[in-house]
Amino acid sequence: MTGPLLRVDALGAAYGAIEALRDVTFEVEAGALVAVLGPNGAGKTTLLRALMGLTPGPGAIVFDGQPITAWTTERRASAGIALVPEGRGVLGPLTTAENLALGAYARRGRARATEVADDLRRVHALFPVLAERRDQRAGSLSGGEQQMLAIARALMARPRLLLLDEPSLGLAPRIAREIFTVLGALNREGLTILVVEQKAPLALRMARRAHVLRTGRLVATVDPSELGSAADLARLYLGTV
Amino acid sequence: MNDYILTVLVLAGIYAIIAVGLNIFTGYTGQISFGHNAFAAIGGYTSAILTTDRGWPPLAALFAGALLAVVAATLVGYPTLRLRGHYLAMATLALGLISYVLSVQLEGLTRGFTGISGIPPLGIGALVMTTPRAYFVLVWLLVAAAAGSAWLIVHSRLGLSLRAIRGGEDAARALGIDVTRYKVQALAISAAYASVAGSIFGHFVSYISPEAFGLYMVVLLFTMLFVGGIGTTLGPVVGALVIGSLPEVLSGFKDYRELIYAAVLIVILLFAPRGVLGLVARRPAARPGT
Repeated sequence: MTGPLLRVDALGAAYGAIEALRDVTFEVEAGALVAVLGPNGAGKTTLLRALMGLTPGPGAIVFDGQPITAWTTERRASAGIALVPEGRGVLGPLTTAENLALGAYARRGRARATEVADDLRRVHALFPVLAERRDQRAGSLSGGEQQMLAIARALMARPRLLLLDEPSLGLAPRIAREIFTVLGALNREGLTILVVEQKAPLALRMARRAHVLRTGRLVATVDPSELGSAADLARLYLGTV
Repeated sequence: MNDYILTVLVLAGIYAIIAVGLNIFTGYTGQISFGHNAFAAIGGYTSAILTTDRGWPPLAALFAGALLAVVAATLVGYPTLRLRGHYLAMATLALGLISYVLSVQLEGLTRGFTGISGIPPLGIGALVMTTPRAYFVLVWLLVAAAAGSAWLIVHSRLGLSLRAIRGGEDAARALGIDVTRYKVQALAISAAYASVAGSIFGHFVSYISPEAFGLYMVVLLFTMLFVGGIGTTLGPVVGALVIGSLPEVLSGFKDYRELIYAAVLIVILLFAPRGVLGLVARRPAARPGT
């Protein structure tokens, strides 16, 4: 299999008459960590929803060489795309263990119980606090713990592409750094990651490439190593590039 | 216990079975159905028609009714369960109204407003249930079976998916859950509970008419769910007992009965929004050591 793992071509999305995404084109190579940066309301969440099939729109999405634009969300999930939604998206009334069990849902049939148990050990090793909170309701976890649970749940699906919607949102800087350290480690192990973020520095430290999204369009692509200062980034956000 | 009290408890138990089923769909899956009277009507009328005109044994008619209710729920479910929130509520309300109109208009089958009388008592062969005490035992065994089976469903893989749907449909989809299919399954399962209860109601009272399965049934069911504790295992049973027996408990108050009844409901909803069971349930904050 050659070519990128994900190819997005002229993707659009609209909520009724309001256009949220327009003509978005980019690629994510297998094994890469790509960031999409942009201010609030730029269309970051919509982009991930469109990739997951939750918000319809024009354009083409090719995953692993297959056009998936017409696929349902469920089918994309079983093909190996996992979304860590904005606001963590854990199921509050369910326990930590139940949330994790649901993560393995998409690959049931393919997955054996022993594999699921192995994955559970793996995510517990990654986030030991989740093992301690096993029988606690997800809604009663702290913000950082909920974010860890959301990521762990996505990993239970053994995804080939992990989509993350602002994983640092609302977290203390130390916790956000911890989360990104784990994401960096997962990426080095070979997991392909697409992360959208408003706060750029953390994502830029890890990313191979970053796209800047502004009012629904990709306006710039940056190589993090060439980005000199915070001032450069501010210019990208504000549109003076 | 005298026959009058037993009769009140049998009727409360019949409602409890419907409420337990509705709780799977509304409490655990987070979907609203204002049309569950339709499924009780399907059970009641199927049993009544098959056991009077066609001479079927009651048990066979009961199963036929449940099967019909499951088929109806599946057929109705696929188009309506794509709807969310208020739209689903309206669609199911229409279902309940349609079933009422049909039970009035299909006179050849249902005998319209006159209703069907002379429904034989429940029984297998020579073993026939004739006393309220026998029905009391049977119905409350069935309530226990209903609550037990609902608990098993809720804690199965299917139940986990249903609870995920209540947590958020988009989130559930992103986890690979076929949301529409599971919602239809939840509706079909809860329809079976309602149908069985509807059948037993017909046999117990020996007479059914459109009024027995009117919209008031839906009002009562939701009151029971909220009073007992929606989304809990025993909440619907407790709610059915409280709401089913409250008018009788208050019967000494004569003219003020309805007023006191309403006041009790308001007080419960204000001070125990999670239902009676919510008051006694352990809360995470109250746990020692955390």
